[in-house]
Amino acid sequence: MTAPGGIMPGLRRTPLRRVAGIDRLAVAGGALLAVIVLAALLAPWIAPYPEDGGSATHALEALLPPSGAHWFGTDQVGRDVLSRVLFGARTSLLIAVAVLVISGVAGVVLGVVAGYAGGWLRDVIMRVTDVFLAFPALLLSLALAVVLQPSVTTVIVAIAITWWPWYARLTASVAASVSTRGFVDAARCLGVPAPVIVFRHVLPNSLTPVLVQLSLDGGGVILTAAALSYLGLGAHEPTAEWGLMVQQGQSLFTTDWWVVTLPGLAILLTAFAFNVLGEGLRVRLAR
Amino acid sequence: MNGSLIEIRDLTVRVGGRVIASLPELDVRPGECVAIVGESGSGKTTTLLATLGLVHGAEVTGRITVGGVDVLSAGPAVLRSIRGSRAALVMQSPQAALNPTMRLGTLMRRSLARHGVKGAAARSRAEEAVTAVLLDPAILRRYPHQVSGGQAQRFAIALAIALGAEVVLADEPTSALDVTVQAEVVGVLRRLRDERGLAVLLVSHDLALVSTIADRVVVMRDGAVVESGLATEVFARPGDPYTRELIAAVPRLPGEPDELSEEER
Amino acid sequence: MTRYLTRRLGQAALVVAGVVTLTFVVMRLVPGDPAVAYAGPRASPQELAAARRQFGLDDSLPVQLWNYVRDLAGGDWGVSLHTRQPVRDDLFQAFPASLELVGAALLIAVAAGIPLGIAAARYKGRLPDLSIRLSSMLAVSVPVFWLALALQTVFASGLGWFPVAGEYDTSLDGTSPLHVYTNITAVDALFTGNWPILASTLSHMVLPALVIAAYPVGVVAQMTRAALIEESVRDHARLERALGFGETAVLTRFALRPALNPVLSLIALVFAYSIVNGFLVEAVFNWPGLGRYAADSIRSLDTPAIAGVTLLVAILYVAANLVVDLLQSVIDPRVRTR
Repeated sequence: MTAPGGIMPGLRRTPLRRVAGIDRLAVAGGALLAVIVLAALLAPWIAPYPEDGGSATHALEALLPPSGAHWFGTDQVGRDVLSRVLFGARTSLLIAVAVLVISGVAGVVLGVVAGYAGGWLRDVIMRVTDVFLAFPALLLSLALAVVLQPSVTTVIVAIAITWWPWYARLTASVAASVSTRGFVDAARCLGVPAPVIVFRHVLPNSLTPVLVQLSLDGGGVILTAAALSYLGLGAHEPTAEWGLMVQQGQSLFTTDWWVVTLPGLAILLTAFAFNVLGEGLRVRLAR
Repeated sequence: MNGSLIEIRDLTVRVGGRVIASLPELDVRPGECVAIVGESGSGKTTTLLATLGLVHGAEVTGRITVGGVDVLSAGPAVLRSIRGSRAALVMQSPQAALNPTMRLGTLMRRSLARHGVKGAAARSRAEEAVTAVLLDPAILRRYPHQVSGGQAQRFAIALAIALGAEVVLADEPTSALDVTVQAEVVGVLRRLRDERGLAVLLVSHDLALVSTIADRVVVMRDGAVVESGLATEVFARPGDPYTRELIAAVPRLPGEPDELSEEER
Repeated sequence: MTRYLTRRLGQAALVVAGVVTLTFVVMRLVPGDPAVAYAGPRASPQELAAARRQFGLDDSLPVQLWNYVRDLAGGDWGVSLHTRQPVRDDLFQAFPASLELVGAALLIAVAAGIPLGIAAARYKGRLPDLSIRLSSMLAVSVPVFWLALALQTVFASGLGWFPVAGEYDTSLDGTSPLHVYTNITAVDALFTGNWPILASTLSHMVLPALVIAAYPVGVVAQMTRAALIEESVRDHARLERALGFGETAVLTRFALRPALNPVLSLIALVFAYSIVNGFLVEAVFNWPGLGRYAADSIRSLDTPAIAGVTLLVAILYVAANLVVDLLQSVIDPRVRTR
């Protein structure tokens, strides 16, 4: 699965004039995301039933509807759903950060080299990028998850492998135009070695669009990770993971809605926060 | 009402409290060409667009009437009905001003229909107008990228004629064209003025052009009028140092291509 | 133009070659012996050896890769381990069903996304714009498998408005058998005048198509809005206003045409994405498409089948990109000389 924003980089960006509400939107997305991050960090302290993030079972308290004692109800083995949703935020955000860092670094390094070098090196890197780009991320992740045994690490590796080409492509095009600027020519004429030019001069000046794209893509990573866990190829018990919670509760949707609905809403809300923030940053940058 | 097609009094355009353009008085009468001259950024284009109520995000005060309609107090429907049919715009960059996905004839037909002219009447009006600007009616079947800049500019004038506009608001109409084509467009404007009494409100920084067509001149600098009067008098005895500067600059830039495509907004 | 076309086709062929190689490598990494999976756990050593020979597993890896490429080019995509049928035939069965679903979803996306984009651009910065933009962002943020479950629970299991699963009511095969031409059930039913099956297919399609449409509706609305706003500040829009056209007319009668170009490119890209996204939805609604086939294949470690699905989707992606580039080169001549 590609990122929601991942489809956009090749297409033209809109030079929007100041649009009322846009910055408020970015702020709102950022605030929402901050709340989610805070909830994830503080989960061990704020979760009402800390031990329930793990493997505790309470057969007598299984499938209780939402109440004062269990705001989000309890699941099929009697664990507090609110606590599991809070702990699940840690898993999802960990995956998102890890994927974005790994694929961002790999993509930017390859992209900046391709963009600066040009010629055959650029062609080789870009064709390899195209090959990985052509792979349906979900499918490759599925295949890899089969090879590597389902786990959170597998999910991170699998998504990162299909994610970096977007950043390589984006960075390459930006770096190519940065490389034609005067200060790069000047450095070249002064005999500065190519690696120094690439990493001291071209790289810092090519980063901004990638950073915006990374924040836009957070939502896509969260969604893909949840989908993999839902298919049983990611996190497994007793890890609290939203996609996994949906999968385990799906047969209970009609009778005990809260078991499935609330983890799903958590995925939706987190992806939404990333998208709103990314969109706000994108528009601000384009202006 | 003094028989003027356009009448401007105490016009001030502000953006965010800053005065972009101010013009105490301007009249355009039938068959007359009035030119607003000055360098880019002097508030000319804004003044022109304000005449049609097309300045957005700015505060416009004073009084503007077009064909007897008070532009600043008129509702949107009234404004739309006078745009094109009473006063028509001719823009600086001829091809960019035409929708790239639309045949010239389609734009003409839709514009006529917008002002209530349809069917056979629309067809004959379109052909008559195109012929009046010395174009082959076959051009109506072309797309903008299939016509030259001069043809596109004359087509824009033909739109005004077809819609029955009494005055053309021309914003640097020749600055994007090369010299021979410029002469062509100016020739068409002058002919229409002489034969049909078409009035022209011209905005330009090109004094060579202005001197060949304008009856009266208003010189603007930094949004304010520094001098105005009959073209012949202003050019013969410029009273303001800025006007003298502009005139002195002409011989060094004979029919210069536009060095500033960015007009003030 | 011809040179550009040749170069672009060459690039696409190169990418497909890379995809084939990568698929081959990944498939070799899959644990489990395909020969064992095929011959069964109680097979005799002779049967196993025969299976190994049949799959060419005794050859060296480069030779296997070469044989694999040769077979693919010759139309032999291998035999599925779990259906025991040629993968190509399986794909011919499953792909049209996915296409049917994604096609319906994209129709919904265009029919809803473009008007929403127009409305947002028309009321830019005001309440309708803000609510359309927020809804679009919500639509692209929704986990499809969860939305599928939710809609299925509420509108199929709960209210009973739509069927819970499947492509059409198979009991109709007895009363009004379907003549298969394209394998796209709705199309076949339409052109053979098989109304019961058509009606049944359409009602089965509503929920899964809506779920798949969520993402495309969101991105199409956002892109339409952005492209319209970009067009509406151009010189030609100013002239159109000066000719007496109002904002709505400028947007819908003038700006929409040029603004549709980027939107069309986007739809081609979203198509490939939606096919894969549809896998999850097919799983929930038990739709007999590629997704269900892929899920079954992965469960049974069916290497040739997984490879077949992966290759098909990768080729679709390459083709969609090619179409986008060619469309853009037709629209903008400068692209060709790049």
